[in-house]
Order: sequence, then C-alpha cells, then structure tokens
Amino acid sequence: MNTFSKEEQKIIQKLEAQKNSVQPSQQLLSKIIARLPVEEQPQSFMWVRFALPVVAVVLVAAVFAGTRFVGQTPLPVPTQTPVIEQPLSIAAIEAEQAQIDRGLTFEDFFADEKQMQEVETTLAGF
Amino acid sequence: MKTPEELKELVQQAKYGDSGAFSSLYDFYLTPIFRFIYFRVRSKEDAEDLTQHVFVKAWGALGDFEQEGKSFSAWLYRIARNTTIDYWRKKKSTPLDPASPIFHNKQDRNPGPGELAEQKEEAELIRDALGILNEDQQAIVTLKFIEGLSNAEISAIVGKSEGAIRQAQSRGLKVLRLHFKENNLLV
Repeated sequence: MNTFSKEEQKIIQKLEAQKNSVQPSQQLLSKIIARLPVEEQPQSFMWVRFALPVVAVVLVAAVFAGTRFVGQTPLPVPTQTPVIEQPLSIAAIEAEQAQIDRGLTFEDFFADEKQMQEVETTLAGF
Repeated sequence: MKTPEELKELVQQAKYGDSGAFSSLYDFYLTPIFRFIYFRVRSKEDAEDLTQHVFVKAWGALGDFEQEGKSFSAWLYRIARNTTIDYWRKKKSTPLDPASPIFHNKQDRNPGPGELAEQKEEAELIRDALGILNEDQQAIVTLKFIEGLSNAEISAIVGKSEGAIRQAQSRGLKVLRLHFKENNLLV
C-alpha cells in the first residue's frame, strides 16, 4: 500500500480533477464512424476476403463449362431401342403349365404337318 | 454507462463486423482514450488525430483480440500507448502547445470567464508537469490518477508487474512534487 505525503496528495487531487476537465470535440465522433467500414474490417472476416474470390472463380468456371455443353450438337440417339421383355400374363403362364402337364407330343416338335407325316411313315416301316 | 457484460457483448458483435456495435464501444471509450493521449502529446489536434488512429487500428485488429480473460479497455489503452510512442518517435522532440487545448467542465457546461481561465491554467500546468516524466511514469501516472484505473488494469496495459507499477507511481509523484515545489505551484 502506497503512503503519500501531504504534498503528493495535493498533486494527486490536481491530477484527479483533470478527469472532468478534458473532453474531445464533438466532431471526433462523426469523423471516426465515417471512416470505419470503408477503410478497415476486423481480421476475423479476412477469410471472407479470400473465400469470396475462390467461390467466384468456381462459379464462373461452372457457368463457362455449362455454356460449352449448350453450344454443342446433341449426342446421337441410339437407333436400336433395347427389347424389354414383357412379363407373362397369368393366362399365358397357366396355358404353358397345362401344356407341360399334358406332356409333349409330335406336334410340339414338328409344327409342319408334312414333315410330321414323313416321320410317322418312317416309324411305321419298323 | 454500460455493464461489463454489455461491453463484452458489443466487443463480440464488433468482432463479427458489426460497425454499429463498434460505434457504441467508440462512444464509451472515446473520452478516456482521448484524455490519455491528450496528456501525453499536449496538443488537442494531435490528440484527436491519434485517437482516431487508435480506433481505426482497433477496428482493423479486432479479429485478433481474444476476449477470454482479457480486458478490451486494456487492449485499447495498449494500442493508444503504442500509438503515442510512435508519435514521439516520429517527432523526436517535445514541443509545448499551450494555446491549443479546449477544456470543458462536465459538471458546469457554462463556467464563468475567470473560472475557465483558472481551469485551463491548472490543466496546462498538469500537462506540462506530466511532460517531464519518462514515458513509463507518464503512462502509469495518467492511468492511475487521471483515469482512475487499478494497478492490475495498468499492469495489463503496460506489461509490468503491479510492484513495478507502484514503484513507477511513487517515483513519478516525487518528480512531480519537486517540479511543483520549484515552480511554487503547491498552494
């Protein structure tokens, strides 16, 4: 703890009295506010300064790439469309099943009647 | 008057680029920072220029300021002190400018001519007396007795121990006492 002499205490009082006697001029307020946002920005926003140009470049590149595709002739459309197998109907499945149950006949192998007769004639010879 | 929480919130907002929040901080700290500089450059115009410079610098460096456990006012005073040291380094002399300051009394906005003259004279005497102290003593005596800061706060500003602060105050006061005595000012 400091102990001050009477003379020092007088000086301290004089110093303390200065707190209420000195004021800046009113213009000082407006001066600084006008200067702030334009000239300086907090450095916590420095990343924005660097990030924004990068984002801008990426966007421009993307737009440029897009316009290049727009300018090109469209790719040729394939002439043969792929065959898509239609699923069998229930009736068709039932008919097929019935045929299997019935067993295979010559008619199943020889759709041509003439050919079938020839086979029958040949078989009759044995 | 703002509470420490309000000030902390304003500092946080200003850190994120809110110039309105920074304006509020400016309103709050303008006078003490100006006064601190004023008693060390002894010219109102220079003090105003330097004060502006301090706040523009602070705005630019606010991103680096970490609030946790640190005082914004101490940080601001440190910028003010360095700005003043740079000022003298550039000037390399200590010209006195007794005619320039304009003094206002907060308690009485319209003091009589005699009172104003007396007040002005007193302030000039104090200013000139502070001018004979070394840089450390000047800063410490101004912060302690004019600004009314605690030794801990001053320690954070000038980067010296509280013991060293007390010592500088004591030595500064002794120098001032001799000066006042020699000039028959202790009446």
